[in-house]
Amino acid sequence: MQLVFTFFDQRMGPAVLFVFPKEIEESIQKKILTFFDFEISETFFEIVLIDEKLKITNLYFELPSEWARGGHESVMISVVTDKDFKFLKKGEFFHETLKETAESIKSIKSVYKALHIDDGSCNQDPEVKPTNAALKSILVDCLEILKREALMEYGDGRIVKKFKRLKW
Amino acid sequence: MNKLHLIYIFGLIIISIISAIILVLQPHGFPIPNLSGTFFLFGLGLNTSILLWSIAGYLLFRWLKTDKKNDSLIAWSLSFFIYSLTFVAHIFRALGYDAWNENSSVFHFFAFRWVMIIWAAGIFYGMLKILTDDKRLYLIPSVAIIIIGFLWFFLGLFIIPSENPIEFTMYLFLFTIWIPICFTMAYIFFYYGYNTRQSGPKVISLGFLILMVSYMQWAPWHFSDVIYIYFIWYFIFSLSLVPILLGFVIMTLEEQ
Repeated sequence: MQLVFTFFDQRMGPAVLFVFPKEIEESIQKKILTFFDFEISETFFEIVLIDEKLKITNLYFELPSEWARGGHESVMISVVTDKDFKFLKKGEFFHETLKETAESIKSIKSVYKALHIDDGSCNQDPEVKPTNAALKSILVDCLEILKREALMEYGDGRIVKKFKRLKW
Repeated sequence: MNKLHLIYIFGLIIISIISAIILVLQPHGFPIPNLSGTFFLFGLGLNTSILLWSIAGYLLFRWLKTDKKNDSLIAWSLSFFIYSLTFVAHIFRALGYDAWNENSSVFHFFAFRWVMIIWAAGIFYGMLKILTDDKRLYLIPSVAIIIIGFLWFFLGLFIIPSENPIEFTMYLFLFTIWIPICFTMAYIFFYYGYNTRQSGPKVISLGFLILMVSYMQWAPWHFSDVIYIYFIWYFIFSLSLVPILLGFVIMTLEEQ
């Protein structure tokens, strides 16, 4: 399970800000960035990549921003899992956790500044680094919650995975 | 009117005709003397064989339906099918065919019971095939069961002198191979069902657990003065095949 946080950079287009716990394949990363181009009204959606055998669960939302045109930044949290992964006892667990995470992110004062850590024209602002660290901490916690829940449901998961790869 | 209802009406007419004939003629069934004292063994053998064939048939059906990719299904299907030979022998033994009586001699016992070794090895192979991709890890234990199983049979039946070689062989085989394998199957299916919140694997687990317990009962109840109680456990064994069959059917639905 991996968590990817992306945002729409108004100069460069969609960009990845964080990936946990490790780098993600370039091709998957590119696919996630294209999700910003989808013209769908849903903020919570899942994409299944059949060939890669992956499922990407996404929550798109906006952050109020004094630096952005239009007064908001577009951001997205994506969780990459095996294609067949799902929480069994609580179907909406993903949604709830991602929504709570989005609310926590929104509650960080001037959180939009966190998105500009690599932007030379803005990153001298004293609030950029602290907000970026706070955002990172919330996302790490979110991934931990999801992983802990998955572990509780699937045990160590190895035997389950081995059964699940077969058709019955 | 729905045309399907015509089938009901037609069926009702047929049943009415049969009922009328039976009420008028009151037919008397013909005797099968050979079964008068062994009808229970005939029934047990028949029920068990049908259940084993049903499990084998269903697993074969699922193997074909899933593009022949799940080797465990075919391994288990063949295992259950081969295992049924023991119970087909019970049917013929109950009908009075001495050649099918596994207790006639050690050779007869071997002829109708070697399939238990194949069942144990096949069942274990199927489980290991799920748990590991390493060819050595799933082949070596399965082949070892066949070798040790046949070794027990040969030693117990033909080589080690004993007052009752069949009894000696059964003790060896059941308590060193059969029962641990049944428990392993019960545990793995339970583990899978518990972690995925699925009922099918848990039901299969229950079946293997009852099957194991029923075979354990052979030890205290196989002696001639209490063997009638062993037959009660045979009924329970037969019953244990129902959750195994049902569990596989539920598992298919749940996986979908």
